[in-house]
Amino acid sequence: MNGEQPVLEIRDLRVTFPTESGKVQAVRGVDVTVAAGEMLGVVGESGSGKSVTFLAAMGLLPKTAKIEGSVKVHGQELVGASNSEMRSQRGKRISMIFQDPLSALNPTHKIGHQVSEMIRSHNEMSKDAAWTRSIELLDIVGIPQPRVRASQYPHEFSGGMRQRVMIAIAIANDPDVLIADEPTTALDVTVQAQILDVIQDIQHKFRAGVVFITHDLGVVARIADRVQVMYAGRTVERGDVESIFKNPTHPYTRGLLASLPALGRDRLTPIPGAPPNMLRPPSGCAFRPRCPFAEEICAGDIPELHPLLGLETACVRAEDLLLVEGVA
Amino acid sequence: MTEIDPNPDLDTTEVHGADIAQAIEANTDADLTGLSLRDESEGVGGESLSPFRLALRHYRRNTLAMIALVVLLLIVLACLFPSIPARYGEAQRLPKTGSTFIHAPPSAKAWFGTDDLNRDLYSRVFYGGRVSIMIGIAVAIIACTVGTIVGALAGYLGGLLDDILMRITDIFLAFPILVSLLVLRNVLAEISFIKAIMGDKTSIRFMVLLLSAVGWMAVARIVRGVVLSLKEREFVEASRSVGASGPRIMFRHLIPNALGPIMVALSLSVVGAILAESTLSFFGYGPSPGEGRTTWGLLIAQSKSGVLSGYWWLVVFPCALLVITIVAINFVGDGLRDAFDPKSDMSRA
Amino acid sequence: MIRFVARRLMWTIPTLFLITFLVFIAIRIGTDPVQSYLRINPRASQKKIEQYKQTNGLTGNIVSQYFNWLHHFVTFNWGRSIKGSRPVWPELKAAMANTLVLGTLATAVGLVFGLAIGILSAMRPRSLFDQTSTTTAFVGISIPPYVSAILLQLFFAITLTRWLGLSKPLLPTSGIYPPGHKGFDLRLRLKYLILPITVVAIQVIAVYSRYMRASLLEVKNSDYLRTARAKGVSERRILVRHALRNALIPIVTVAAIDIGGIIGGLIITERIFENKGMGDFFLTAYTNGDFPQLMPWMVFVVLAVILANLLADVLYAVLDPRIRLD
Repeated sequence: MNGEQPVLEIRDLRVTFPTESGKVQAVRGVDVTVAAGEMLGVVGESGSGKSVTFLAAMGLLPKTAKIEGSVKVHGQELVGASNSEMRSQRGKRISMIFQDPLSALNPTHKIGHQVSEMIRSHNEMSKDAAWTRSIELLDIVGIPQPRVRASQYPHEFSGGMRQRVMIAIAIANDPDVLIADEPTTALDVTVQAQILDVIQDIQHKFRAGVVFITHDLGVVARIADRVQVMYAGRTVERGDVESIFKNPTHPYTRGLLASLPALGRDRLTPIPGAPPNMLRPPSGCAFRPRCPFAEEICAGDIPELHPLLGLETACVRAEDLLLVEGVA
Repeated sequence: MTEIDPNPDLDTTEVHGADIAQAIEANTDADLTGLSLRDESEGVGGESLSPFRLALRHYRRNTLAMIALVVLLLIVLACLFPSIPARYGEAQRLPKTGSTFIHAPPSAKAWFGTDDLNRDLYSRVFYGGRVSIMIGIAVAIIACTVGTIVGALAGYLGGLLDDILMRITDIFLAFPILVSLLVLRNVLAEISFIKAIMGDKTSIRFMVLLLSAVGWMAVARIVRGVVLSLKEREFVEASRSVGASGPRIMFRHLIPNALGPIMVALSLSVVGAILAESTLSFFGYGPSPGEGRTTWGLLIAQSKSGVLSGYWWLVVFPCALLVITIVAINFVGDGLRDAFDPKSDMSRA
Repeated sequence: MIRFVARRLMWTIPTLFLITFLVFIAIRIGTDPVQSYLRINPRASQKKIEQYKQTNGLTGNIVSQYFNWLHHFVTFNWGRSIKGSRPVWPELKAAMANTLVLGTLATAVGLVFGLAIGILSAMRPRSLFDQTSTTTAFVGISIPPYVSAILLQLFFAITLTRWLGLSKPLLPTSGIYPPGHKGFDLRLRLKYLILPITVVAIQVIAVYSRYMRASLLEVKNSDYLRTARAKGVSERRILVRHALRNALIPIVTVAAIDIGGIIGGLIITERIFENKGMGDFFLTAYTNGDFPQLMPWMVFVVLAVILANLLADVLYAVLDPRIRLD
């Protein structure tokens, strides 16, 4: 980061969902910072709170969700903003791409209209002008014959093409922040690569701050500048992509990396156990029940991030583990 | 009718299906890691409940369905043993009270008033309910048995049987049910061996046959749909791959897993049968249970003549009991649907 | 689209052919027209019976009798009713006109109220309004139409009149016009229609408010609505252009197919309110075993069902671009 004001700044975000059986603490104090033109990879497994964090930032959670903390887009606070303030920010300064492009597009509206709608929601523009601009946008994201395709419906598009449409919609108003929530998970591997190219292209061309939410560490290694690893509603480790892949300090991050298939590795080592129940998260470090290095100290306070080897880690035993490893 | 009652508050808490856990943990059951919050809250403490017990637990939490169940049980018991709630015999004529020989309005002697023969309506409502409810239960059992077998076979085997089933039920379900019943009533009555076994078309047995003959179709379609979707699931594929026989798959896997929808269909069948019986009776094509005896449909049909004379009690009380019973069964059925399909839960709470 | 409709209409002919044949057999097994004739004309001579059989094509085996009937039907030689020996067509035509008025008005009223209630419910799920309306609708679908009809009749004919101390009922409870009335009188006609419309509409409202609520909730839960919200589209536009537009698709098609249920409700309502329509026509013909009346009635109902199904398919294709006809 280079002294510039971050385009997205999340401070101590907490999200709880009231349910019949009690409060589910989906996000428990998460900080995120993204600068313009930067890509942040957010990694975590199901229920780690990675999607909920950014849906909360977008104001897209159900009304029953309780959101605390601060979300600033280009310095403007969004938590507690009125509905109309929120609406004027969404789609203009912060926009989002979702996992399944088929269900995320309205099946009964023409593609061109779905792009135009985004433009006209935030700009005084005639229908014709918006339509023309939509065709340009479809062209930018690499949709062939955009003029013809604009008049078609989502079911006439392939999965990859639909995701391109979603990207075209997301960038229509040149947003400061683009959140991509597992945008390639539902796609074929070959198409995945194309979509990643499009997103990177957008990142550079539009100088948007991109948040790339995924469970795929390989994707993160390829395109992200920085990585933030989440577990049980908290950040366990973050830092630039190279440091994390070279010297992970948190046992959870190590577990994730060890479970990745790689050249020259005979077997994959899965992390034993399952993620915790967020109705009653464990005291102290939430990863403790699954951690092979857990000791008494881990059950104390919830560990905060602290700097180590150019990274920030939430493991209280990170230093000890480095020593042990150094010996071994 | 198809019910879609999604719960809008759970969508975003459910995290994406294909997730890191599967990559990390090849050994773990995908179902476990993909748990939605709600399911987790059910399995607190690691105890695992069978789907049936889970459904039972869901049902018990549904206040409205529990109230409906209690009301329904009270009505059914009162009607199956009418001599307990009844204050007079079914055909017993009350002595003259004051200046009225017949059509006495509700009073301490006759809570629901009396009819054209000065019989106590309060007592007759329960005696009448016995016939109506027994017809309802009998039809539901027959229709659900036949419907389940035919539907499961059609869904499992597919092919010609399935086509025939779908075409026949298409035709019948598109027609007004009253028309189908009336036409079929005359047809069945002309078939000599049915006449020999079931008796005249005004007998109760004949009515059960008639209503079952139409009622099984809706059940068969429901079961067929469930079986079609279950057929392709892993556990069925798995047992087929280890060489389990067709009947074994059907009775060990398909039908038990369709139990929820079948129970809902059962409740719908009871309602359908009671309504059909009372509607037919209302138009004079119902069963005649014998001299001095009655059914809900007959009670309401006979009250028609009292309407314009202002004998409101003849209309109001039988109608009220019939409607309360049907509402109760419908609420129980709805509760069952919710209980067996947790996704549709909390739509009414 | 036009080709699809044309092809489906062509298919209507063999379908009608097959179904009328089955109905013909069923009715012939169930009600022997000669028996019906004898019941109503007990002193008919053998010659008269023969004449009756000849004019109604009741000679030869059952298949040839069907073709006799079909020939009479398509040549518009529909004969006379057994009871009263009145020509079939004029009465059937009048019945159809009455039913069309009652059925259309009741369905329209029911749909407008039912959909409105369903939309309001789904917009605020679990609010007081939602809970009240879903529970009321649930009770509504549990009330058979003859019960609501007879209770309304009692209330308007007797109870209300007594309470208000009126000399005659506020609303007429039977018939289409007062006895002896001649000609057309819109106000009077509507007054007589209010109660029958109410009975049929109660059913429609109860069923469709539930459908609409469920359908809209499903759409509200959809990803594309979240996308629309993420775009910063106004809530009003989200509701109208995205949610309602898509939630109505299944409703419209269900409504078109549901004609059987509407006719069933009409049979009961027309009989109780002595509204001489198709339902009443059927019940009378059925009671009299009036074969010449029953068969044309069946043809019209089957035709209505088939056309309604075709309409449902066409509407579906018009509303949902994912559906292709052919």
